Amino acid sequence: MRILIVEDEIKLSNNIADLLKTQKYECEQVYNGEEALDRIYEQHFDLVLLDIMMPYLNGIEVLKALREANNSIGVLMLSARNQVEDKVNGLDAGADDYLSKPFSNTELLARIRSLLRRHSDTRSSVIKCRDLMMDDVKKEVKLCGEALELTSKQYKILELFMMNINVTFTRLQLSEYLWGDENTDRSANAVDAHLKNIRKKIGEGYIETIHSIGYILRA
Amino acid sequence: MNELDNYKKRQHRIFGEFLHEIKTPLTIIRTHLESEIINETVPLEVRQKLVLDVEEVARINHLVNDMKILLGENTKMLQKTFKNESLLSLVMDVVESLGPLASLKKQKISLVSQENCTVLMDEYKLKQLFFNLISNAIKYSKNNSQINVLFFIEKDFISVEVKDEGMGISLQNQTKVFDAFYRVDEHAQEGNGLGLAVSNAIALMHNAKISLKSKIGKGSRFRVKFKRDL
Repeated sequence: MRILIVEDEIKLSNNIADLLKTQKYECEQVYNGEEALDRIYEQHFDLVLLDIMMPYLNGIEVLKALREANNSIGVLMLSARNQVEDKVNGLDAGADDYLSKPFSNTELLARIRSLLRRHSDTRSSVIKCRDLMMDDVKKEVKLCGEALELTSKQYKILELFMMNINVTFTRLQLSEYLWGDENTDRSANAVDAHLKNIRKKIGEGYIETIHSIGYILRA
Repeated sequence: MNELDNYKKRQHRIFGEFLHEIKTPLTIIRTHLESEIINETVPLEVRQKLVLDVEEVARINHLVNDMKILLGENTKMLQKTFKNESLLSLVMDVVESLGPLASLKKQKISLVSQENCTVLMDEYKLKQLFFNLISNAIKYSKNNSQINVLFFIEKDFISVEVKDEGMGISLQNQTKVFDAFYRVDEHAQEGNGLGLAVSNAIALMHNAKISLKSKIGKGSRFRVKFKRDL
């Protein structure tokens, strides 16, 4: 999977590239809107991470140019400024999703995976991890062929882990994922409680605790 | 407009810009730390320390977001994105996520509503409001006490009350608790001192009002009153 990172803050761009490489994505970095358009027209990418505030041609303008040229590549917008306004403008201009800074790696990876799945032609709705199977169209989880009953929050957490096998998630990231990043101060305990209940249903062997860090689902 | 108004407007704008500008460096720090946290070749004890650093970065970010709400930026724009959603399921979600915290203190939270009801809202912001009220109730109440969350659905209004049997707030402090950075207990470590000020601003954003009734030693009752848009 090839991802183009369009971000004028070089350090941030490098951090994102490093993160994506750990997840075996191929990525290219460009630092302004014009370069982004050139690159997208020249080469194949599966997804574009597009910052809004950039010199010369900003992210919204890049996106409009792409959509006017009937290019339907998946675009995830990144922005720090005037969040609400940017979000409305970005989605109006044809962005597939929007992430505001500062975002967590979890959130970024989760959004990238879900966009890639949405855009891929050979889309399969079933994710597997050993004897565990999740069908994200039917919203169904099976363990050794047997359907499990999960609450919506439990499903949401398990989905994150299944889509990000071998990635560690901290309690903070999980609690932001469940309740939004404003409400995390006191909900770390709730994350642990959910994980405990999920383990009761899928067994102890899947999601591992990493002491004082968080949780991981191993392949 | 006079010179003072101009000056105030300029200060307001500069402060708003500052809050935006700080977001990018925070993102750089956070993404960098988190790449190290998921990197299993980094020693465990180093990763454990970085988890704490990320929590501090998140704290700065909360502060920035809270200040943005207090500054009242983009309220009109934000209201355009409001959706009609169930207030009951939103409050239930908050109660569910705070449940484990309450059970640590063996407190019971009960939620009572006669019927479902919807209001125009920004879901995340409104959740923050109820998160603040209910987690305060937990924090300022003794073990084994009861917290009641009650809905009152009337013809023109919907009110949600959060009632605790906690330490209560003195009459003289009752108006001050809604001020930014005001703490009844100066030594309190938890929170950034903006919780109720932000809750109040979020209520105003939703054309709602928060009122407080409290008696020292008896407990407090916060009521959020929404207008029905029917």
